[in-house]
Amino acid sequence: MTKRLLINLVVSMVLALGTTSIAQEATPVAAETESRNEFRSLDEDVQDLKKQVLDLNRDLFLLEEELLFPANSQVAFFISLDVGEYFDLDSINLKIDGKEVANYLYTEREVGALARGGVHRVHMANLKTGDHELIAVFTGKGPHTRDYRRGATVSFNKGIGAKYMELEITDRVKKQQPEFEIKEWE
Amino acid sequence: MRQRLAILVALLLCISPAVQPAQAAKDGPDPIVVEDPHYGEVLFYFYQEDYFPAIVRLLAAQDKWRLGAQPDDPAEAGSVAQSGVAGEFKHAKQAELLLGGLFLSYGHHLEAAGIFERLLADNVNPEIRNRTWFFLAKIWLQRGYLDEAQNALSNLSDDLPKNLWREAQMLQSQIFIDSGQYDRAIALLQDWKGRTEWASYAKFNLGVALVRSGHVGAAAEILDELGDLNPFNEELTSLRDKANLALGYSLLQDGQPLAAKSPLQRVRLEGPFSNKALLGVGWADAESENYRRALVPWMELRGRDLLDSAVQESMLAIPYAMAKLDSISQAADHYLNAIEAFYEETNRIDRTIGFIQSGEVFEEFLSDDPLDSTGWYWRLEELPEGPEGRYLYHLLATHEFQEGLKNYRDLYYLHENLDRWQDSVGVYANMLETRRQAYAERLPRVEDALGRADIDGMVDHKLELDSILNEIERSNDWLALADKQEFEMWGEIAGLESTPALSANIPEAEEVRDKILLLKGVLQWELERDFSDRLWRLRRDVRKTGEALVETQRARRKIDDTMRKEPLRFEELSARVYGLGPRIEGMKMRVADALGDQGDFMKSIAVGELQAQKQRLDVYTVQARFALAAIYDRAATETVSEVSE
Amino acid sequence: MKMKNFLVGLAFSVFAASSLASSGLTGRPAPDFALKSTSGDNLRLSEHRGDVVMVNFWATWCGPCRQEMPLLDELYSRYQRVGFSLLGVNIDDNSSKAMNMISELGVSFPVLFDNRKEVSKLYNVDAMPVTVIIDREGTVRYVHQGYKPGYEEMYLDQIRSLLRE
Repeated sequence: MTKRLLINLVVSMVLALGTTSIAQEATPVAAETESRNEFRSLDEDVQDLKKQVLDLNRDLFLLEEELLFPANSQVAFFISLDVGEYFDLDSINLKIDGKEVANYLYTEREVGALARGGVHRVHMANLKTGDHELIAVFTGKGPHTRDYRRGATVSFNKGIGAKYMELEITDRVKKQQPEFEIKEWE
Repeated sequence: MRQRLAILVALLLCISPAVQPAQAAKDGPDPIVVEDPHYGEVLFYFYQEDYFPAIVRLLAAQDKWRLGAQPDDPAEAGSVAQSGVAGEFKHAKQAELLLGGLFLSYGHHLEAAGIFERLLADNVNPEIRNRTWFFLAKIWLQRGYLDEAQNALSNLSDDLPKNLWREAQMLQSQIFIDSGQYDRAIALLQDWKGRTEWASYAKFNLGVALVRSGHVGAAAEILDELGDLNPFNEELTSLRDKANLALGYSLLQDGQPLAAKSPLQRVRLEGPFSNKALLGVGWADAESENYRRALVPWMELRGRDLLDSAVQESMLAIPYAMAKLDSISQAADHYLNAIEAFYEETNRIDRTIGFIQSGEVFEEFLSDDPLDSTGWYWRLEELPEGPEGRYLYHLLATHEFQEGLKNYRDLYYLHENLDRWQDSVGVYANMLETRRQAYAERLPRVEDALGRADIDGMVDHKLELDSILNEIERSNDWLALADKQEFEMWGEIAGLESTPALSANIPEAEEVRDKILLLKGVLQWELERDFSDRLWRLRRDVRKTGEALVETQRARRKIDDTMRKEPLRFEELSARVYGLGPRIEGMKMRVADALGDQGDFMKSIAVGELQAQKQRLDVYTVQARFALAAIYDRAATETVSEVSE
Repeated sequence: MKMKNFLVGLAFSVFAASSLASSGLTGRPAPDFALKSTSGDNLRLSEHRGDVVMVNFWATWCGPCRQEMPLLDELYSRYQRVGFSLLGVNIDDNSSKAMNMISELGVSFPVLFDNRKEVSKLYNVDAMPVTVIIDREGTVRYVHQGYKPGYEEMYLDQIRSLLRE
């Protein structure tokens, strides 16, 4: 996979180089051509890049299947952590369409894993296609060991294929005040 | 007549007064309760009267102890402690005593005496001391060493247990009698207390002492008492017979034929003393000139075994009585009969002497009897068939012959034993050689295998793994415990992550970056979750490997050790096994010699005994001839006087 | 409420023959769970993998539990250092009652609170107390329902043999 990308890159670079040298020999009319060529190579670069990313996506998709095994009717919910200072996560509670579907208590070890970049698949739901409502609440001990509790409500649409929802607890927006940030993937 | 009587009485009183119940004769040291297994084995054989193996094992056990393999807990021997033997090796002293007793039973009285005397020299407790002296006294007496016996007896202290003390008194009385100190014997025996069997024996001995010292009247009283007792076993019945017999004959000798009759008639009709009793009864009547009545017991006697001197006597006594009754021709007939019978008997004796001297007789003896027990108190029950049997029966009656025969059988047993050992030695040598070969064969293979197995390397590896696992635990390196698949996946993701295209600042790239983080995160969560479980499993496996390695090392050390020691052991065992062969051969030769000597000795006893029989028959024959001649003379004279009238 | 629970519990213990009793778990992997403990931390069963684990379900209204717990505490203090873990699981609706009893009995092993009764349902607990013994690999090896004096000897033997594996 990586080799292929590399080859593409080299090819495009060579192509880019090639275009440039031809441009240098040209006349003032050639200068215009040159800049157009430059633009073209950049554009090509970008296109190539996009293509590469798409290829990447395809490879990722294959990996996904190995790691995540979603069935088409299922929605997978993931918990991840991205905080500046250590946050003592205590529990996660999920309600889908008003029904409690998960109530997970995190041990010290588990919190450590999350802090190191681990991602916890907390729940898999079988949902009909259509709109659904998720209410997610997390509790923990914030700074000064005060009990900390935050929630988020989100509506999402379940399409035909599988869906992932990553519930990231992060204090990117407000330092030392973690909040849910929700990402969806199909 | 008187002379005849005198001979008879002398014969009778040659019966040893030293009578003891058979049980007492078998007395060895009391059973010792010991917990040493070697000991138990010794006692096992001892109780079965297999003295030879008992002695062998005891000597072996003693050997072991001397070499340092001591009996275990000194506190274990409870009843041994009772005897209070001082000193470190309680077992050792007891063992010595047992050994002495065993030698006694086996007939090695010199050895036994030696052991006992050694024991006595040591500081043993009074109880053991006493018993030892007692046994010694018994042995010396039965072998006829009166002085030594007396010496031993006088060393006894007063606190022997009751039954042993009585026996000791009895021994003392025997010593007195045998050495002619009748008065002292009488004094000792007259004060005998108690009503046990011992009392009867004491009485008898007293009677004998009285008779021998000429106090017939007093003897008569005592013997009469005895003669009347109600016996409850064979020995006492025998004793009663003897007493009656002794009384009868002493009365006869004292000129009281009528009084003599009743005790003689009390003697059993079928018993060891019946013949003499019958003879005596006859003489009692004859002395009272009741010749017709005298014939009755004598005729009965006449039909019995001709080897018995009483029977031989009767053959002459009958015609004597007949002559007295004036049945001259019948008397002459009987005399002729007697002479013929004696002649035939003499021939048979000659043939027997021939057989004995040719040596076959003893083999017969031995082949008829089981060879297991080799004890001092062994008695021959069955006799081989054939004419020689009768004579041998008589021979057996003599103590000398019995002892000699026992010695012979002991030697024979030893010879067989040595033979078996010789065979065994051959087998052992073979076994040893086989083992040596097997070892020599296997050794290079084992050494090879050991060399190839790099046990040390494995141990190092194991330790390495230990420290690797420690490091993994310390640093929480969950990735290190990923399996192949997981690791590859991780690698793939990492590879994708580092794709330069990803660092572009376009939303697609960001989305992909996020996706990758998600995937990586999920894999990571699982790896972290499984981390402690995997870690402890690995540790457990490494630990088990470690244990196995320890075992292997232990085994290897053992093999190394054996490899070093085994050749030495072979040498040692070899030397011992091969050394035994010539020793056994040497002993066999000595035993064979001794066997030959003993055989010759016994032949000479037997022949001597038979010659003595012949002589007696000669004497009787001469007497018969004289009597016959006298009858012819008388007849001739009468005829002449008739003629001359 | 308490009474009702008690009666319900009793009813279950009498009539709950056919359903998969806790003993049906023997030989199977112990269902994993996480609950909040007396110390405030969350504790997860599977994180004790490698230890021999005893899970003891109890309630304040259960008499034999009261008898049993001090003995369990003894076991805990004796064998904790050599690879034994004890998790008490209290199923009272009201944790404060449980906390009182814990401090009253001087219990030192961690007690988890299963107010929502999810874990006791997982383990099909229908009578009190229930003691589950799990080996180092996470497999349920012994299940004891109820408590009678003398049971602690059995626990001791079983724990010892599992520790030696």
